[in-house]
Amino acid sequence: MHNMGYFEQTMDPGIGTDEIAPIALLMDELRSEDVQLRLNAIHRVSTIALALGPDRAREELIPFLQDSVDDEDEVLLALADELGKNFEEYVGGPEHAHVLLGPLENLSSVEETLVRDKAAESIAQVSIVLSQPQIEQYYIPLLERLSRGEWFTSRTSSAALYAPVYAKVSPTIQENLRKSFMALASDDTPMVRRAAAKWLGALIKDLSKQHVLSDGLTIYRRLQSDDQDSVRMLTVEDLVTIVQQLTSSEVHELLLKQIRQTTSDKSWRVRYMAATHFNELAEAVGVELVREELVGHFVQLLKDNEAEVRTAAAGQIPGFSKLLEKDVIVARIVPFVRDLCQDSSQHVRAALANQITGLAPLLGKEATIEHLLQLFLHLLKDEFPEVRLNIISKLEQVNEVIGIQLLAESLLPAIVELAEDKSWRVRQAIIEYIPLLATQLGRPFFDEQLANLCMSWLGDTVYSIREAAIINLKKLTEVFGVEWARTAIVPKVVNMGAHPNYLYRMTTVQAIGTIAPVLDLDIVRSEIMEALLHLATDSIPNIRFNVAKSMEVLSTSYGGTPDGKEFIQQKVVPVLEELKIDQDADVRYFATHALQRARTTLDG
Amino acid sequence: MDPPTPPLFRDPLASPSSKALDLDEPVRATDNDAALARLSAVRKGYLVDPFIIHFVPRAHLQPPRPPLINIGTYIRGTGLDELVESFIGLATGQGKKAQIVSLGAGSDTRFWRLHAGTSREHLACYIELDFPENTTRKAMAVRKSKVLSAALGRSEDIQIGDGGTSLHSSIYRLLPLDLRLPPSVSLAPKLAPILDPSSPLLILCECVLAYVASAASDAVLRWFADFSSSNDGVTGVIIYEMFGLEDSFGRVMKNNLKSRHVELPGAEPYNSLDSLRQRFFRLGFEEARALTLRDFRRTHISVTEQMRIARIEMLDEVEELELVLQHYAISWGIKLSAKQANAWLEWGIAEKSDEDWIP
Amino acid sequence: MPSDLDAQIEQLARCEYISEEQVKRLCLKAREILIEESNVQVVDAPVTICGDIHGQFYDMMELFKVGGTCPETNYIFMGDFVDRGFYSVETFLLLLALKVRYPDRITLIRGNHESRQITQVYGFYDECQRKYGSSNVWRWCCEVFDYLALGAIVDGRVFCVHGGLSPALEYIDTIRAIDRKQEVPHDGAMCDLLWSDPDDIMGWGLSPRGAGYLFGGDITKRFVHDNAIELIARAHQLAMEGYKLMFDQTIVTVWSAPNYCYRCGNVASILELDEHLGQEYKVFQHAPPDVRSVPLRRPPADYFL
Repeated sequence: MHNMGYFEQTMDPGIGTDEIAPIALLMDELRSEDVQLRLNAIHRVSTIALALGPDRAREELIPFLQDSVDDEDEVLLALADELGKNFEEYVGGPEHAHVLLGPLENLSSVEETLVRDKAAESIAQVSIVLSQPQIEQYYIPLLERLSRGEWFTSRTSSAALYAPVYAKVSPTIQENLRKSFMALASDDTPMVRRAAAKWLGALIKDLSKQHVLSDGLTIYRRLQSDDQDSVRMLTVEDLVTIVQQLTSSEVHELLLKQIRQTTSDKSWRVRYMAATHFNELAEAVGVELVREELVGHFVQLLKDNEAEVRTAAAGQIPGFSKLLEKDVIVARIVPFVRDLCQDSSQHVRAALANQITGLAPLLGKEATIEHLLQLFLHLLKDEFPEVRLNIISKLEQVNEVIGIQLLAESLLPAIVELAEDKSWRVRQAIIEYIPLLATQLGRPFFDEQLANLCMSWLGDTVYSIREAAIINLKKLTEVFGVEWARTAIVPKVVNMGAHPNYLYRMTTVQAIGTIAPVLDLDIVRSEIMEALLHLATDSIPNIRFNVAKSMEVLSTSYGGTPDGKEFIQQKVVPVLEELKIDQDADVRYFATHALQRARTTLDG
Repeated sequence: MDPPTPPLFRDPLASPSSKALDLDEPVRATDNDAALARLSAVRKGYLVDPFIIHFVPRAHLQPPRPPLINIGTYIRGTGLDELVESFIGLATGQGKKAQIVSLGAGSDTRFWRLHAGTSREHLACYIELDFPENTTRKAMAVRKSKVLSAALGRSEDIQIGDGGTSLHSSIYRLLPLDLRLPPSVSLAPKLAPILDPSSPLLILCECVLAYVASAASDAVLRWFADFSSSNDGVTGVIIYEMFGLEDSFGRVMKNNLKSRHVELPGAEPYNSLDSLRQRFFRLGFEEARALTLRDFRRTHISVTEQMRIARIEMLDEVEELELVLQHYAISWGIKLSAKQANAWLEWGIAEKSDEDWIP
Repeated sequence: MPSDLDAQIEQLARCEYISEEQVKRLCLKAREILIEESNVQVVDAPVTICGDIHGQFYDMMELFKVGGTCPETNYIFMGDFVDRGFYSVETFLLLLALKVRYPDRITLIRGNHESRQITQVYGFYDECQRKYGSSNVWRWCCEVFDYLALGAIVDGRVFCVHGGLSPALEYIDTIRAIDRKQEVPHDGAMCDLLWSDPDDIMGWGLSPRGAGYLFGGDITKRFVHDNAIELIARAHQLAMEGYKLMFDQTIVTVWSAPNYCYRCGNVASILELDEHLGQEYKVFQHAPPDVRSVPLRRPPADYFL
């Protein structure tokens, strides 16, 4: 009843549903020039069916939909979708559900693939509520028609429709279905064979073990040796499904050749698919075959000629390595990881940078230090920003394994270099990493190695970096404490307030507004306020209204104590009173706003 | 009042999420882009083509494309038309009928346009090759349209074959073919029996070789060239495609197309106009020329025609148009056998004299 | 009003468009403000000057990340907010909402795309139709276009205009005499300001765009001298490096739509004028691909395939 709301809104409640001839209405709307209106009409088709009642819905609406809808693909797609959403409720319940197959059969033969796919999906949905007699009387003949259609369009759709009903029909019909599916797998056109390859897995799940071993394997082998790589590549998932149905020894006996052929296919697209699904396959074959067979295939994929294949294989590294012993990872996988760090394709290196840190927990501290640390360093210096970003964003994972001290010591030079990276997004990623580093490294180390860097970001040419630098100072204050901030941060921030370029002065004002809440009243009073008062008379209005904003922060942060109230009354309020009558409208606005907040605080 | 619901998601067909059955689907879909662009240019009045409408489903519902695309489509179409007509003219001059093979023909209407015009009696045969999905689609369109099928003769002479993927008539044929396969297993068995090696043969490659690795496309061109020249024939080849993709515009093009899963391996080796000519010489052709669409627009379209075009839609950005057009080129080459007249070497498109006119 | 407006600005900054009713009120309010502005709006430094945006919303957000947010940074946008990109509605309405909220912090100048005729060809009209189901929003925006300033002058020294100069206008003061509240005409001084381009010629030339003129270095230098200014900043032409200085740095093209039309592969820039009119060009790139810069409903690729 999902569309009732709309229906009630649009129909005049004074007119009975009998009088409005919903079919005519629908037809009118489907003739509209505007696609959106036609789409809306389709989305209301269940409402119209409801208004008609089940009998008229079956006798008038369904035939209309079956015969007269020719529209843009998206409208057809919407129709195919609507008919699959429990539409039987509107035509008299499950015992009449088979009438929906008519319009869906038409839709499953159109040119547009997505419409056909959706129609097939809806047919499968309808099949759920069909009884065995309904299936055998209506569905199976439909399936036969589609499977023998003149054009490939209907034949491809049919491939999706075997699995949904296979388990529900008699053994004789089952046998016919298996034969008929075999015919699809041997069709003249690669499109139909591709569809067979795509849907074979689903069918196999419903076959008895005996039929998997007989017909299932025969169909799979036929498709897996197709002369078109576009067919072969779709058999990778079938392989995974079949392997899941078989025991290790059956796989060993029956499928080793296919596994080998698939992972070393002459077409890179097949190898790409094999690489993409490698971990699923590995998990299905069991530990023994992983060690005996799959490690070798995986290594081949890692050093494939095609960058796309290496990229896909790189994505599987930690997942696959989980199935291996530590010494096997070190001996068989790590050497190729090392090669991939030097890969000629930036995409491969980027994919690797995303995954390589996942090896650290598997290798543990010592092996990570011995084998991986230098690779991280190498990737941090990659010429391609995405590689650098990927590795930076995953460093925390490494930190958990080897500890920050070690990580920092070995990677710090690279980090300092990245702090001045040409790409501001890399600089930003580094800034965001700084508080964590600070927490773990401790103050002396930080002061010596990173403090200057953090201040230099305040003068960055990119606004977002200056903003991030300010937030960083706030976080550092939270880490190292107020006294540290008094000497390490505040003087430098305040000094910038006298810079001849207004951008620096602006940074000072904004930094004060951001950091003030985590300082204390004493510092604010003695170290900061004078600079702020000075900036309140700056010639640039933008500085002045940001002073007002910062003053507002001071009021809300420090107005809670008697000392703070006095400070606000004596120092903050008079400035805001001045700014409230500024010549610039925005200064007046923000000062007025801040003053209200200050007063509220003082009254509170 | 609530804001209207965002309709960005209205078209699930454009969503890349649907699991494509295979990786060629996006390349085949480029034909759809081409057909829509041509339909748009025709509707706006840039080009005349009464047939394209039959190849675009629900054509009346399709929105127009931007002016830049319309103009580019016009330039591309006009240039190729002139070259094809020039080739047929040269063949006629020697008392021969031309055979045309169009690779990756998609929904091209050229056969029907030629058939409707004066070139009709100068054509020996017209063969279109494409992915089986595209040939099926075209066969369905031909079957559906009386206008299209009338040009192929009586309906009993039109045969559908290969599971619905091929169509055969006396003059026109539509054959499914994967150009990436070696010619000995793809082209040879299908074309050798139907082509006449001693008649002039014109190969059309409109935006097709760029999608194929250059080793494969070289093999295809070489096969055609050898086929004719070893039999005293002549082969002309017209290639239209993008080139010079090593600059930032080209890199963005490659990335944008990649996000639609379209790759251009065949464009990689060609970074200059001269490299497009050298392709032909490398494959043993006697003469070859190349022209960017930008130069074609500047020097090969007459003033009157330029003015007509300028009046159809207001062009807001000339820099952008030229930037785009200079990344597309028409190149053509001729392969002769010993007995062929040198007249063939003149094959080309004429520069229009009044070139100092600013559009 | 400010808090309503602040909420709308926040919403638009997420690239979510506001309701039709809100647009109507915003446009009315904008007209009240713009009607008070002169044809050549007087602006104080410091200010950041931006060129064409063309509905590339996420790239404009990139611009704000590099240049700073409004009102913290003062901005002049030199037109062509709409057309071509996927998000003309959100782009223009955000700029307009900022204008209404902070009239002294942001100046909007009219570009040749801020026109009824051009927006019907290049996308803004269709986008309004698609997003609101009617042309009302487009109509109201076009009415606002008619009120946009034709130029700006920063501290009396930097003249900002979308296109360029006009043979009918020797002095900036003469621009003030134009009755600007109309659709962009096909010729005449107002048309020229929005359509002309500098070119390596002497004197004036015919424009390949079919509107406005080409003007040479001599014309530019004379204009700069006669009006006692130091720089003409304009937009209107794609500059692959983000900006292009010409004629002994008397004129600059500032282009702020990186990877224009998601196709051209160019970088973009903004021109920061500090309080002493010191010039700094900030070059920036298009938004990274993980930011949703292409809508799900992807139009056909604008290539010839």
